[in-house]
Amino acid sequence: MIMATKEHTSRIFDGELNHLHYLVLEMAGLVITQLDHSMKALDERDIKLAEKIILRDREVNCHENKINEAALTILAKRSPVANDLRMVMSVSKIVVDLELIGDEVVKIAKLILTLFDSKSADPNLQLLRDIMKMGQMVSEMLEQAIRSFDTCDVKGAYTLVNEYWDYGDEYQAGIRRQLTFVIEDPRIISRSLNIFQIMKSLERCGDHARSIAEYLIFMIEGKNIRHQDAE
Amino acid sequence: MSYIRESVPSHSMKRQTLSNVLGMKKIDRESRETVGAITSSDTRISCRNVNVFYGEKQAINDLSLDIGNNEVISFIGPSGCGKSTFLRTLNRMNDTIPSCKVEGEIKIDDKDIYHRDMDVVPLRAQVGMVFQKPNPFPKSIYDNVAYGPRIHGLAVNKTELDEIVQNSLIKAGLWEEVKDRLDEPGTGLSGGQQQRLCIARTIAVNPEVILMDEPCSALDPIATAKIEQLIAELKERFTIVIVTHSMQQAARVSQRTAYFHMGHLIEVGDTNQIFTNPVHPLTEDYITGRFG
Repeated sequence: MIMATKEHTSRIFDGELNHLHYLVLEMAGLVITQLDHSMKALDERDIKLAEKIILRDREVNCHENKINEAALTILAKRSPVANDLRMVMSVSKIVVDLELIGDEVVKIAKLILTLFDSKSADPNLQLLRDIMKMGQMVSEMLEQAIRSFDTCDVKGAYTLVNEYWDYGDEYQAGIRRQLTFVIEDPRIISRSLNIFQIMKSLERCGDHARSIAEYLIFMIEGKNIRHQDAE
Repeated sequence: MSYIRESVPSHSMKRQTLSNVLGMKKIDRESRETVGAITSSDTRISCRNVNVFYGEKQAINDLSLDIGNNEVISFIGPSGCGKSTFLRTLNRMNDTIPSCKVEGEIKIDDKDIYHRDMDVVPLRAQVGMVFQKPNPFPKSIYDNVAYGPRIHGLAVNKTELDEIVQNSLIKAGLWEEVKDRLDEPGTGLSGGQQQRLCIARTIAVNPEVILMDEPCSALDPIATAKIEQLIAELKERFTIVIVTHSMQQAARVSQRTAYFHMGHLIEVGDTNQIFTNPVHPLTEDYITGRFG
């Protein structure tokens, strides 16, 4: 007889997978908050908030350890196969991306501390404009990736993977604009370098969000779309 | 933005969503047509439109499948799905059940094994069988292995018979453990050794195909590992069909896996594909432990 629902016969196994799923959401929520806070700190020149971001990275790392432990336990105890195996494998990959986003946000926070050092003058507002735009875009990408993970929305994941290229264009355009400012006023070169680094970190965060979407496609469809050029 | 921060749905909701979406396949769950390649490039056993009945009850429905040369194929599925019944049709073991009727075509090396002129005695030497529970004869270890070659006249003298017994025990990975006590009763061996003795007995008559019906279900993990290692070695010389309830065993030992459900062959394919990305929803439900 075919079961109407698709729960595992062992409800405990379902509970363990739910727990893993929930841990990822928890970690992702923290990482998105960190990213948003970094943009807020930049926008409001909030050094205390930047310092707080640096301190909270420890929590992100703790989450990564917790998730890896839970995934390892499931592998050892349940020997998952098919969609369950793909879920556990994808989660263990996704958390690496989340943790790396956390690291990039810390880099941004440290650059914010340098930018708003009391000894220097405030950076030109125009210089910050591109960062804020990119930061918002990356935050939305990450949120979409996690929403897709939460609801197993493969269409959302595909959209994110395809949208990446627009985002990459935006990054290139931002770099060009920054260069124009530097050419106009070479005195801002050292600040501009900081801005470049922040933009680079944000671009990497975007790459990780895209990577999460790729793992998600593998998790749901069993299709590996990563490194297709390798074949 | 704050989809994530504002509402984290409850665990059960989450998993339900996950299950529904992950379980979503393009193939209709109710479909009973076989998914995957039933053919093999180097076919040894060819089955077409096989139906098996026990009296009025149909145990196998219109099953078609090729089994390749030197291939290990696993049959998996819940109890009563027909996998053992199908296995037993491959050497006509079902002939011993009066109510059993087999329709369709089963050919081994292009010979129809259900042809009226087919003699089942050489057939069962050609297609050997290992059962769930080790069943050594109440005779010595030597006689257990020598029994088949004797009745099939495979040895002309004692030296030849000794050679067959020794080679069979070596191939079954048992020689080193029993070579000094060949006269002791086979029933005195441990469960794992008894099962390997049965495998030695099977291969002593030089079969082409070995059918194994849950050969490790009564064994401990070490004995199981030995049998699995043996299967990997035997596949160089034989075609092996194994029925197992252990998903991990099917994943470990076979190159192809066939999933049975209520008398239908639901899906057959490369073992790696079946265990990482099965196509039919019923296969996925079964191997992930969602029913069965």
